[in-house]
Amino acid sequence: MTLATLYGTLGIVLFALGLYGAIVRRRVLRKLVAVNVMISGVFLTFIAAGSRSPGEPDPVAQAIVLTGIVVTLGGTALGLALVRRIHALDLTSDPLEPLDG
Amino acid sequence: MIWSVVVPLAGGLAALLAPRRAARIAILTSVATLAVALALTRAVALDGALEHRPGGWPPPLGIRLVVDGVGVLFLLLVALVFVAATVYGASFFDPVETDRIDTGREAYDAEASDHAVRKGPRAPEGFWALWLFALASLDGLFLTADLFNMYVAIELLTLASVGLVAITNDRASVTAALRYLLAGMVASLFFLLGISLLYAEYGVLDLEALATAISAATDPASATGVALPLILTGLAVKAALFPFHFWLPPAHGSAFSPVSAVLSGLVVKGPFFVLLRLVTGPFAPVVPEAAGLALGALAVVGILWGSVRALQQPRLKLLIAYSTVAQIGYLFLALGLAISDPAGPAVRGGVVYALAHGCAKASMFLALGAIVRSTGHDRIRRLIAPQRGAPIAVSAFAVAGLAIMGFPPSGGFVGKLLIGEAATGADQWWTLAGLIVGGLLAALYLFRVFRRVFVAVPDDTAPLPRAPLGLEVPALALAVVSLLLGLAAALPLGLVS
Repeated sequence: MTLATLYGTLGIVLFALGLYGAIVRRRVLRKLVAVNVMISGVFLTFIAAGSRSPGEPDPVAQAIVLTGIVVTLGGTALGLALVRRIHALDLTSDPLEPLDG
Repeated sequence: MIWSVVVPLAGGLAALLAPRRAARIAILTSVATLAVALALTRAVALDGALEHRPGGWPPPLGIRLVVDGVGVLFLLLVALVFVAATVYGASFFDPVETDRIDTGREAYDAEASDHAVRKGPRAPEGFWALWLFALASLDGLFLTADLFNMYVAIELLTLASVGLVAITNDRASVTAALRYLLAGMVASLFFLLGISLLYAEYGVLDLEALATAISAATDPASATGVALPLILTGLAVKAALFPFHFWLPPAHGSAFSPVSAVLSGLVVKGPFFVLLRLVTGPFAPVVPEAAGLALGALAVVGILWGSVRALQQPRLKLLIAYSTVAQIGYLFLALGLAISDPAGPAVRGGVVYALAHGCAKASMFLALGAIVRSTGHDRIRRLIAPQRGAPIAVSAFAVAGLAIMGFPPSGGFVGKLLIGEAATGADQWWTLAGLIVGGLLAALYLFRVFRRVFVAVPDDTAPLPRAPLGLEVPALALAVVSLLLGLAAALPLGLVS
């Protein structure tokens, strides 16, 4: 087993764990964290894909991961902003509670 | 070609910098984008597919932009619907006092979605910038010929759409937006994981290079065996294929009318277009026929489920939203058939259907907004002769309804005919049955609305206030386009083949 295969397999395990959390967990914040675990898994597989050939690591894979981090940051920030907004609109709701309705 | 993205992006920034003139900037920008799309159409019709390399970088360093006949048709659809919806939005948000006499009837129906006050809501801060960013990311998605760039465009599109839903700023819409965001992010990650596996195998992201690599590989089916289902699933969630449609009705049902028009008419077509491009392009040699059958089966169930749910909805806006769930089914029927026969009529049928549905569904949401402005609510049972307040919008709804039902002169009919032809060619009787039953169900749920037009008016009801023309005319314009698409179907069909 090469290091790349190890990283790729770990990435897919992380993706699966995150997916399980995103579906099964009911609280929104946990769902958001689970999505972030998923994306870390995807990044790991990309890094593994970039280091497959011997010698210099592939810059394209690293560039992709960087872009991906920016996109995910935006998505996560938007999700957190929406959670806060729901709480601001309806003060009786607990921002940590599951979504309803 | 790059102007299709640059113009709306620049317009969005300008709208952000000059918020007072934002509505005017948005109208100018959408008209300019339409002009770019028309020029591109002319170029593609004369010379065939075009390619552009921003910065002059060749792949693999550069990212190619490619527009072919299908791409240019989607660019045109997007630009056209955006012009209509932007003009509409400019009157939708401009607070116009109507001379409604308050008769003590409920003036405000808290459950009616569309801000049941008779004057329009104020344009929320940043609305037009988000609006134009959505346009830019849609155009980018239709132009790019690079897998990772597709992911970025589709994710930007989701972020802009989520923002446009949440901007309504009530509990229902923000909750719907959060659900939309979570579903959208998980879906993108499926797509991205698929891309990463492909990259690990072939080391390329450019579609053309990928096509070459796949056809040169010794055992391409096993290498793409995991990546392909991931990509199909991710994009099917984004396109709201049954059973992944759960996020769509609350989001489309709680957004402002012009936003719902763009989301339902255009945004769900983005992932459909990407799928069409992938399965008829680089993946054509490796997509198993079973994938086509599975998509077709889900599509038929989606058509039936969406239609039945539409029949049950008490509110017109949710009826239209569930109708979209059903209509997405037709697109995936075409996609499933295109997998088994990429050169057959299924691709043409799917494209024409997507164009007709884009115009007709946008027109319906716009008409709905005008009707709500006049009546103050969208409860179907309580609509009494809505044509008194919004005659043009009600006609637009009826004309667009013809396309949704697939009635003969409309673009919906031509699309269904071609999909049906492909189904007969592939000996898929169940697809044909789904097509026909779906059409009948669409007629049923739309006639629930149409019959409200003929309800006799009790003498003691107050006259309805008139909806502004700025809301009614764009709805009718799009409905007429969906009808003309059927009468002049040869023009778009010529570009597809």
